[in-house]
Amino acid sequence: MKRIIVIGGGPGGYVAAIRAAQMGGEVHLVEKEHLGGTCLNVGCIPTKALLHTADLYQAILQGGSIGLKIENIQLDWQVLQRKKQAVVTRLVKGVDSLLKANKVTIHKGHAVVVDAKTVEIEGKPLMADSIILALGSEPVKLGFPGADLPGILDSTGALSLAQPPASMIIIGGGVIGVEFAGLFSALGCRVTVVEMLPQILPIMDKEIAGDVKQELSKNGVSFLNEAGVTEVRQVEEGLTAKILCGAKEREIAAQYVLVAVGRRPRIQACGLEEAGIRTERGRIIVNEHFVTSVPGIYAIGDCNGQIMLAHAASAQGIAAVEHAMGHQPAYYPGTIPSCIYTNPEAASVGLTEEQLREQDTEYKVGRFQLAGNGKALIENGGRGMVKILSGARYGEILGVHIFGPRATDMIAEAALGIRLEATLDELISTIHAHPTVSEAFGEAALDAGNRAIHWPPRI
Amino acid sequence: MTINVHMPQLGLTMTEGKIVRWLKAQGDKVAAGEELLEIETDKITAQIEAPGQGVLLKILAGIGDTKPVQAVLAVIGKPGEQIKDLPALSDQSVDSLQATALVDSPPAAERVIEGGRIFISPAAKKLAKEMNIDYTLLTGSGPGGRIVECDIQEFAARKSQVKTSPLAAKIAAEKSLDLEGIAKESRIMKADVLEVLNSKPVEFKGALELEGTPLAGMRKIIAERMNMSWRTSPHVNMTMEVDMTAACELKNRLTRAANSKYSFTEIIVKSAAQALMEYKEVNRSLINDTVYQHETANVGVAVALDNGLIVPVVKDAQTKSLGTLHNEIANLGEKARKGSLSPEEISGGTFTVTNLGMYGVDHFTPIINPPESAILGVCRVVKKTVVIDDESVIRPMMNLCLSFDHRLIDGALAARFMQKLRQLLEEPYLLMY
Repeated sequence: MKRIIVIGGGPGGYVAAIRAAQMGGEVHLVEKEHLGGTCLNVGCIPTKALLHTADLYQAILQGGSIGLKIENIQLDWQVLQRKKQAVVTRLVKGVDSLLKANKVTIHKGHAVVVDAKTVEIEGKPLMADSIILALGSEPVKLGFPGADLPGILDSTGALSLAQPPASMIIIGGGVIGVEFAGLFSALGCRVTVVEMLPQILPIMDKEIAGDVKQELSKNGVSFLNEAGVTEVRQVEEGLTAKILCGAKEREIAAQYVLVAVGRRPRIQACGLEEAGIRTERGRIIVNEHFVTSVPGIYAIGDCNGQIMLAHAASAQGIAAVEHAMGHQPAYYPGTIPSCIYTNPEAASVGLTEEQLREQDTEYKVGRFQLAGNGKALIENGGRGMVKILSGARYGEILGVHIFGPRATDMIAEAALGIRLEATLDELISTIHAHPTVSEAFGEAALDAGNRAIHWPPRI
Repeated sequence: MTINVHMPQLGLTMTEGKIVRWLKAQGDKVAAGEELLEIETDKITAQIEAPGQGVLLKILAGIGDTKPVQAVLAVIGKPGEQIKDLPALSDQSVDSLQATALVDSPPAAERVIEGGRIFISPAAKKLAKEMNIDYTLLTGSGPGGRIVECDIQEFAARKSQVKTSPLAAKIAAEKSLDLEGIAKESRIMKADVLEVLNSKPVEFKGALELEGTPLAGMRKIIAERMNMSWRTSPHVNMTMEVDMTAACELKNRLTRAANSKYSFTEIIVKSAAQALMEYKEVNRSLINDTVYQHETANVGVAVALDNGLIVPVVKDAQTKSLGTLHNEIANLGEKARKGSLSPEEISGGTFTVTNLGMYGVDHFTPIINPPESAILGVCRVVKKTVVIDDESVIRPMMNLCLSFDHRLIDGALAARFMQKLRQLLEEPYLLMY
């Protein structure tokens, strides 16, 4: 029986451990804090729990037009925070049960890699046939003057505020910053997003990014692009930040400043250097099978810095242990969707138009505005769109970008389409239920040939 | 199972062989390796050995018969064994079988020739129909490539396992790639198809395995007409250099006056039309040994298109003013590029002008546009030093390249025609004459 040691119990580590156990390995998992890692404890799950309430809150506040007359709706923050914690605790317990059910031995404590075959857990050595590093990541800190003041938050801190914030400056217009902007603005907070690049969500499809920004602006979020915070000072009423916007400098006051400029692998003090595991710019270098510079040691998930998404970590974890157990792994990064839990949601899989143009790939665009979709009209007044990018010659799906209700679920159809090398024909000939938002999928595919049924023909 | 005796391939160029004599008779016992018959080709004579042991159940080719390589000449098997899937006896000369006692062999059972080259046994055909399999895609394992039952069954089993992604199927269909050849347990994806396409060995059978498109549309028509013209009219080429000073002046003045950019084309078309009226013999067609004299100059102006060319015709060019010609040529040119010329507009020409001057060409040999007898190639206008009245001067010079059909037009006539043309271009006021 092969012994596999997995260091890290987040979505990368615990999934790898379960898969390794399924394949007959003797699996040990080491976790120094909480099972479930960042995702379950201070990432995906708590943010979505808060967002769910925030969305409902907003829906009810605006519910007059759909016949909901509720006077005096209030947000009970403490109840929400407790509920959030309850969901987290339940899931963490769930991971624990799953690991135990698969006969994975869980070690609590800090692990240090000694060499390709040895890990020290709290000082005690344990031999292994393969080692999987699932060390995760931590928020990047900035070093401007005042960066250590109380009131300067990272994502973890932002999730556990004692009270809903009245005003906040969010540094970073990426996915995390944008989601927090949506969350807090929905709860009545005055939000300003400060982003260094010319546009927010820089790696997203530009059209969708623009739509997201527009929605947030409608809800009172201010955006400063090509801007950066140079200094934060403590004043009586809270904080005030100096922001350099191009050549101009301005000062904005806020209760909190949230630093959401990205995450970096958390690989310190694990013995990597001593064991000969090579890193580059803080990320562990791996080959296509996620093997590090030391054969037998794998690095998956956030700690190799490739794709900082929980589902990517899980898929990589599975691929790594399958390889370690001598199987042919199946890992298709081209099918990894990205989701943004704004309101409406945004989701995408595959390539953007910008990427296709860079590659000089000839492509066709098929679009469908959700104003033409009955279900979307009911759910949110028809705000949103589905965009499908397909190869010009064969019509194969190259990228799908959705903005609208249920985008994060609908993207699964697109990911499967890319996985199976489906072309527009297959999307069109697969019948979508009515009334659903997913119908927009088939219509967008039809639009690529300018023959959508539920939208007038383009001239 | 019976064993077939095939006409062997003795040498790379052998395609058939003639039966000289049989060394064994039908019904005889044969041992593996024993000599059965003698054949001859245009190069050699050879003995054919029995591929296995048994009884020579049936001889299928007689003395003097010529059979193609791989044809079944005889069948060996156990005494009384049923011969299945024999090739048709109708193309075997049964009459000339060597006259010895014929063993009571079972009737040449099911042998069917299906349209063309596909040989399939009725049993296999029935099974294929039941399983809804297009057997034309198969090569059989039976005698002579005949499709037999087990081929159908094997294909059915394989077919249910071969899965392709929609994209892979589309690429394979476009490149006419047989996906059966890809041995893969899981779904065939684009990468697999591309790998096969890129690794296909280049067979040097005299041609590279390139992706070809059938000659079609405009290209096909041009190809046919050019070929026909070249084959039919003995082309002679004649070049003359023209001093375009006066023509340049005319062009510029007209451009200013009309506030529209004139080109040399209209001036050349008018000059050619006028020259044709004077030298009528150049304005003729020879069709089926009959000479037709045209009374008017319908001058075609060749227009280059993306993938070919088309020649709209200016009718009665000699009657039209330069202004009219300018507009008409521009209009026809645009229609040509849009593909909206009417049949009327591209027929009835008696002479063609083709201008490659804008590409900097100094000389070329255009092909006559049948049933016309001559075509004028126009080259670029370039300033040159020429000698006039024993002095070196710089003049804008242009080559005219006439190709003419020597069946109708002799050199001297062509030269006089060209002289006239040159005169008109160098003294354009004569166009008003």
